[in-house]
Amino acid sequence: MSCSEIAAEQLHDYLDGRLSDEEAREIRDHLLDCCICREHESELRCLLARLAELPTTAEPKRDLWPAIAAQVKTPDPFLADLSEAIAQRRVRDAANLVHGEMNRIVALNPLKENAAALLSYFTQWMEMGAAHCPIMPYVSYLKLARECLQRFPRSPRPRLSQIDSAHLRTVEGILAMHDEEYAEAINHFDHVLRLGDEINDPDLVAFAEGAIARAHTKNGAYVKAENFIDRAIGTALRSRRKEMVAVLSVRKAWILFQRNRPKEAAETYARAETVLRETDDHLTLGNVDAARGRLTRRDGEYYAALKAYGHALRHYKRCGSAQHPNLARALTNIALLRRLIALRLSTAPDQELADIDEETSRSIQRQRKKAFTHLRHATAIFERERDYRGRGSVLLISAELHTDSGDLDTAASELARAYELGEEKNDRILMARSRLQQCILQNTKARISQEPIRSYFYAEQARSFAEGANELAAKYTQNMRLTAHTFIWHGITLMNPHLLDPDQASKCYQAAYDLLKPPDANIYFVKPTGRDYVWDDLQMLGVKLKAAGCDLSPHDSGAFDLTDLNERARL
Amino acid sequence: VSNKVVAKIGAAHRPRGWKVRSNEHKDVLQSVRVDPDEKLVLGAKCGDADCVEALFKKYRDRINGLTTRMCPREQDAENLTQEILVHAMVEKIWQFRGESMFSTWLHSIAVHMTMNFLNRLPEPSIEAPPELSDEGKQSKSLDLKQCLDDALRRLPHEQRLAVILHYLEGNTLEETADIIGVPLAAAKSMSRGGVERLRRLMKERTRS
Repeated sequence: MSCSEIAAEQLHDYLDGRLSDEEAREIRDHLLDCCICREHESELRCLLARLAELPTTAEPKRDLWPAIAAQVKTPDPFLADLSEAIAQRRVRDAANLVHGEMNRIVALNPLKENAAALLSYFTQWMEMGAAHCPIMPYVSYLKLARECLQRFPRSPRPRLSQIDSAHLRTVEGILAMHDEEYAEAINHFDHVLRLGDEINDPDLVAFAEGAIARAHTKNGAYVKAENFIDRAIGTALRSRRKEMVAVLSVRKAWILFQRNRPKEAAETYARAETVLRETDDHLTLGNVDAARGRLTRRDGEYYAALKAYGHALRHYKRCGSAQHPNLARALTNIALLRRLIALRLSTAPDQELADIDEETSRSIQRQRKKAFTHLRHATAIFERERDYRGRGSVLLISAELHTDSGDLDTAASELARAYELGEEKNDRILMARSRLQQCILQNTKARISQEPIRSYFYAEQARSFAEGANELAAKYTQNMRLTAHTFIWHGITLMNPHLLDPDQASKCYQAAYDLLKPPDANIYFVKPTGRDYVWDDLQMLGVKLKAAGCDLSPHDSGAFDLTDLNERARL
Repeated sequence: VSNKVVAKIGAAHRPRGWKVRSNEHKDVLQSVRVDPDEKLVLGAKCGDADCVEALFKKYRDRINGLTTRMCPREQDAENLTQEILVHAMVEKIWQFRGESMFSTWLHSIAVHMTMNFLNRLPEPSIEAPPELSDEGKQSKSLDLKQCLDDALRRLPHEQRLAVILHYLEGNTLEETADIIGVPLAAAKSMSRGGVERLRRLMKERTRS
């Protein structure tokens, strides 16, 4: 062995006794031959011996005990148990604890010790699914939390300790999330993170990081969201909270899904689910099933998706409340699935019902009827919870259903209302989705209109809606699928006989195709992200472009095979 | 606990056909190791002042030893020791879940708070002459120990911390990594980098 082969690292391992007998012998042999390494080794050995002799203790010159004794207080076993149950996602145990001490929470006195921590853990518990449960008629836990927070003096709160301040900011952040004021929520949780080093409470820090990630997700800022969720998972991993890691992973998987990485998302969901199955955290388990429904829907497997959403509904109902917004969201998604199934049954997206045999027609009507029932149920929950985003989604799907059944005026008014809702809350995703649907509606009107002037007018409107949707989605959100969908409909609009612009349309087609392509796919792939309605629309644009004589290679997405779609729907 | 007992306990927990890893006995040893502070911690969690005082007396000098070596001023070190003990034994004691030894947990809190304190101060300069402690000023001829002490003070914060935990206090590298809250490789490079730097400093000193 030569000097160059002996890295300084190995010499240290040798001195620490971390080498195998064989390796240690080799080093010893080398040291006998080489005076430089021998000197290095003897210096280190001498230094380590001297270091070990240095004293490791030092008695303070002043007596520290009186200052510490003054602060010894009887700790609160309830808070310790509750925080532990929350971190381990033991939902039922946490609920029992909270119900046992409900009087204390109702009569919360902000001047008493641990008041901020009590309110903070109460709201964190609430976030596990109980927020919308009624304690008594018209009073939910959420309302109680709001009321308790108002008892604390308004900020700035100079008299609060740092840990109390962090707890109160957590409560304010959670309540802002419920109010859908995401920028405000991020501000509150950011404050908690700034105090993070001082308060030394990794559970609270992980919660705050996870909440910031959630707020960014809601705003469509997926890159920022992914950064924060990775930080949160790291914090939870370091404090060995595997249940918390699982819950945060579910959130991460959703972000991955939104960033067009469905395979990674599915794997992350599966890993998280194995841990969560050991707990009674039905809210998160429901979220996992709902996400699975979303993943299968994207693959065009609508019946499998329906089944997954059914599982999700069962989990949500076990949360103890039939009013949870997630339940309404699942219902909205089921309504969309039923609409898509009906659409596939009607063979081609815009075919007249008269051409279909009676049995299929009845089955289409049945699916649409069920979809409307789900939407009514969801609307009731969203109205009650004042969830504008949920109401917006319901309006969009309802408008789609009305468009399918030919009631175009109702659809138009619903879409206009959805856009207004998005504008009120500055929700660009909802605004872009509304504009996109308006574009689709105007396209339908342009196609069925008998008068050429009217038809031209509708086509022009469709173009302006498509441009608006595209600008909103591409500029203000990071939602790649939505952006792709707006490109597709911009292209379809441009293929209208009145506006015919195949060059521009094929540019739209290519932009959409690149957005839908998974990052790891090569150029020859056949199925970019599954065969759902976005894919179907892309193919429709492809067919129109080919008919106009455009060469789409190497971006050709394959033939528009309707018989295949029909068979899949029937299966 | 003897290795034989450990192997026995290990076997009882192992499913049939489970192959024993060569270092499995270490995991088992870890899990059967009883925390000597368990009862005192339990008392402290219930707010028993006697238990808190017992823990305080047991760990005061060790924590103060660490802060004294890390902080440039003795007064800061004592204030920091007090803050650490109040934080760990009064404010945060109920968050101690017994997943590690109490001493490790206390140490990691101490390290965390010390590093937070030091992050607000500039890193010590290698070139600058060592700050002499009061004793150093009194005796003009610096003995070797004093020399080493001063050289230690000139190491960057992280390296100094790793050297103290590993070489002075005798924690294993794994324990050191656990206490600082970094991966093993990082703890290795911090402590060994520190020692190499110390070696060079001491060599310069003996030459001069």
